[in-house]
Amino acid sequence: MTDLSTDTAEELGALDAATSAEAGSAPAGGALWHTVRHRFLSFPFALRAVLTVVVFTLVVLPFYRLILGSFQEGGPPERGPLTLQNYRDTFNKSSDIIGNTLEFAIGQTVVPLVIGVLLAWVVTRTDVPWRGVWEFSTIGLYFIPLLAAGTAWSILLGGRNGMLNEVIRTLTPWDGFDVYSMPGMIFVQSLYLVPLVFLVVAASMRNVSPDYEHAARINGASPLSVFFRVTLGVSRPALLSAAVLCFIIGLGSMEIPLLFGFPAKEHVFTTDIFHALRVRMPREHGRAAATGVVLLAASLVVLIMYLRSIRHSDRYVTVSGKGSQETPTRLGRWRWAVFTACCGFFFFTMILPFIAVVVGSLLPYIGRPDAELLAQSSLENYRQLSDNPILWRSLRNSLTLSLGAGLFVMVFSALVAYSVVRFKGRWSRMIDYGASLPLMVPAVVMATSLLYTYITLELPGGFSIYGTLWIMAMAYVVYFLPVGVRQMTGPVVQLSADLEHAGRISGAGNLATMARIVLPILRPALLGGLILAFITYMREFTLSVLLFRSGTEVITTVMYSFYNNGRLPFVAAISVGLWIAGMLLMVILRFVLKARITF
Amino acid sequence: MVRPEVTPSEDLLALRADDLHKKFGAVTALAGVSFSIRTGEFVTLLGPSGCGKSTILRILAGIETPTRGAVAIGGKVVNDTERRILVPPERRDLSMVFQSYAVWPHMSVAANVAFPLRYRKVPRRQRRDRVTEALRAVRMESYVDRYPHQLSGGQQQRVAVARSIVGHPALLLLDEPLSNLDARLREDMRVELKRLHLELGLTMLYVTHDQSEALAMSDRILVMDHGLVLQEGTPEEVYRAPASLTVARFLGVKNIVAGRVAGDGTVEALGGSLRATLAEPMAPGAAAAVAIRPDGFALAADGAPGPAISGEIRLAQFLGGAYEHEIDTGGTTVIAQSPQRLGGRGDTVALSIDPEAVIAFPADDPAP
Repeated sequence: MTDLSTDTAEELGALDAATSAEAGSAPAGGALWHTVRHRFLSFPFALRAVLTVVVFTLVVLPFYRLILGSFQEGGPPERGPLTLQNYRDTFNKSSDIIGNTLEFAIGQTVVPLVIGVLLAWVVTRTDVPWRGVWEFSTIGLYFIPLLAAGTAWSILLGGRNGMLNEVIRTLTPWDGFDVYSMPGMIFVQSLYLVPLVFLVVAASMRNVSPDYEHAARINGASPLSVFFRVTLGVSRPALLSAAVLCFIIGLGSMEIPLLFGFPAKEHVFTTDIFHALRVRMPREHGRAAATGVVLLAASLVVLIMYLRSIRHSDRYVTVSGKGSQETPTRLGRWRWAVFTACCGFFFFTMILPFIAVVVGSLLPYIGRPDAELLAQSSLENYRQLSDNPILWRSLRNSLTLSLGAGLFVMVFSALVAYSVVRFKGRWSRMIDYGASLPLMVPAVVMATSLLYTYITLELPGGFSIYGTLWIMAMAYVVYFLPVGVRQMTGPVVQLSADLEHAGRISGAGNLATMARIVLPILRPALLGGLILAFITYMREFTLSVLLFRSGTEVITTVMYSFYNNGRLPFVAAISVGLWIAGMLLMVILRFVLKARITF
Repeated sequence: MVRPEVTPSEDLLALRADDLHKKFGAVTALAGVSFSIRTGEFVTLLGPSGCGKSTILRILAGIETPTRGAVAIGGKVVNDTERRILVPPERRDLSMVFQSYAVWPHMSVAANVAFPLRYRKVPRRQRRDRVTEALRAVRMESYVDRYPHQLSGGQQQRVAVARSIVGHPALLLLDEPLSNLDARLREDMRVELKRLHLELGLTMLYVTHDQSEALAMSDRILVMDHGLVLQEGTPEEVYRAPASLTVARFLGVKNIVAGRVAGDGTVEALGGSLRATLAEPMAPGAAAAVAIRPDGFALAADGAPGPAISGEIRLAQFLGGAYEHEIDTGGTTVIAQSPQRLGGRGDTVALSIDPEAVIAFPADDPAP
């Protein structure tokens, strides 16, 4: 029968505390005590209270402190009088920073959008050969740390010394392509944002029934206009959300602007914040905060535009194909041209860069790849690195952080998803909004706000979390939280409440039901999410480079300091390791756990 | 309202529900339901979707709280809104079989069944014997090490039943346990459940919307609609003497025709005069709604009792055990079931109707 109950679980939980007086004697303290137990000691209340405190500490409080700090003179620990000077400094600094930031963010939104949409279309809607391979290798790009990919392109196209540039200069009258430039930054960043666009758009396109396309063809549309008007049209909301994701990443990510923008003197706001917080003396906390708020405002504007444009998104609710394996678009004689293009993309994003880091890691320096240089190749770099205690320490830190923060964020995400699905109500929705907020916040702003909030915090016993792995773990958790919640929401929705009720009736309490039934059933999803979190953290650079101290280096910050000191072969050697590890994890996730990766 | 305290004379009561009310916002799901179950009894809540029968089950289990009312299980008060007593599900001595089975997918059959024993403080050494015993009762002992996804729906249902009986609960609740099974399995499982009830001496409260299940299995049936109990009695009582038109309709009486009370024990209907049972005293000439069970019809020529009516057969279908006919009796179509074929399409036949199968209700009962 259809049950009228909406908040069963809420009631179920509300019962728990109110278990007094089974013998029938009136509870001492009467109604007040009853209310306290019934309301405030109940499981849904306790669970949501804990979630609220954590979300507040990690998300809400830092943004409040950041915004407040941007209007204060000086920075923590002193709290100066209110001022607008920080904003004046931000905008006066250099006017081309604004232009550069926008150029970079827009460029690295448009290029991956075009490539990603085409790839998604090819994989989901056409009969091109090896579609599974293209899907796998495109998603695989996400598992390569951007810093490693950047290193590869630096070896290949980095100014006059870039190996590929040397080759081009030798063989052609052309001068090559300098990746240390705005087009170079956009190019490299774009290649590695493609998997993100691909995942979002392909998921949407897969759900479109081929009937839509057939209907358009039958009504006289050419294949091209079917693609633009029907396939793209129906996927418009997915396209827009992919664009917003890319844009916000572009506003907030640090690795490519630091690697390529610095030598090219193409500064953007992220590198400016890096300078204010990590390079310049004295530190310019106020200006960093103001810059952060400006970035936040920019992403807010984009977000509002996005929300306005998907207002009518229920129009796009599609009837999904009935498991029809039929491909809607036959490419005909274009089939092999498209196949070649896919091979080319694979070669340029995976094979060539990997060869570059492998070769680079064996050489004493990067230069013209002639017989003389290649003859000097050896494992010397690996040997030297294996003697480097800081590298080992950073590896240990990276693994600890990635595993610890990954475990925490996935269990926490499961609990957030659980309370949203089971308890419903406004309070749960607020927790969900809070946990999703970081998705719209550029990473650099996230790190700045945490730094700003916890730099002065001193816990009892003189323990300060600033400069420890803890503050980095907090940043990591915030960074992945929105993705984690989305990963867990689907599995929790599919979890029948009867399974929990059966546990309760069998004699297990709330916590035992959580521990023995709910979380174990969610384990495959938790594990898939954990691997995704782990790889996200292992490649993470922006948050780490702003928050690390001597002793809390992670692998990516060590790579950057080698890069900064001109030890490109070292960075290449580390990149080889991360590259191989990333591919292994990808294979495990896909073929052992059979997890679907979604954002 | 003062409720009587539980007294020793009520020791045999496995369950007592007192004046249960439940509102979901503005919607009333239960409007005051009271009943009790004796130890070892099989009681069924029968009613259409949304009548509140599942809500009762969930309140008894402790998954739902009543807006008002009290519940005692085995003489122990587990819920009383006035005395602010509310015992959580895990501390009520009962178990439940869900419509969705609710077999935990991450545990083996053995682990599923052993789960309640952990909380019933059964020593580890005895657990295995108890699990085997419960699985044997549902004929699943050879599946101990399987996982739910390796089992069919019917097998999962058996595991769910084993899990619910393993702890020897004072009360077993069953929420439409057969509704997800196909017809054959449903019959088998129905027999099995009844057998378990008799063999293990279980006290069962069964919820269903299927009147044949209710009639076949129950010691007592509570017919419900709109959050109220309409009638309570043995299967024979509610089947033979439905207290209202709604109950009659719900028990599968397909023929409800307009008629008029003629005199003592007779009604004018279907163009003839029928001997009938009056559900309540009615004056001659009063309009009546006459319920006629389909199995009450027979050919008048066979010398069956009662006055005859005539009609034309529109449709005759062989159902296996009986024939079902659609008969036009001068503008009113009735359904007649009989072991023999009454005639072919287009035949005009004279029919007698068993007076036991005819019950007249006041016509102002809710219209059909």
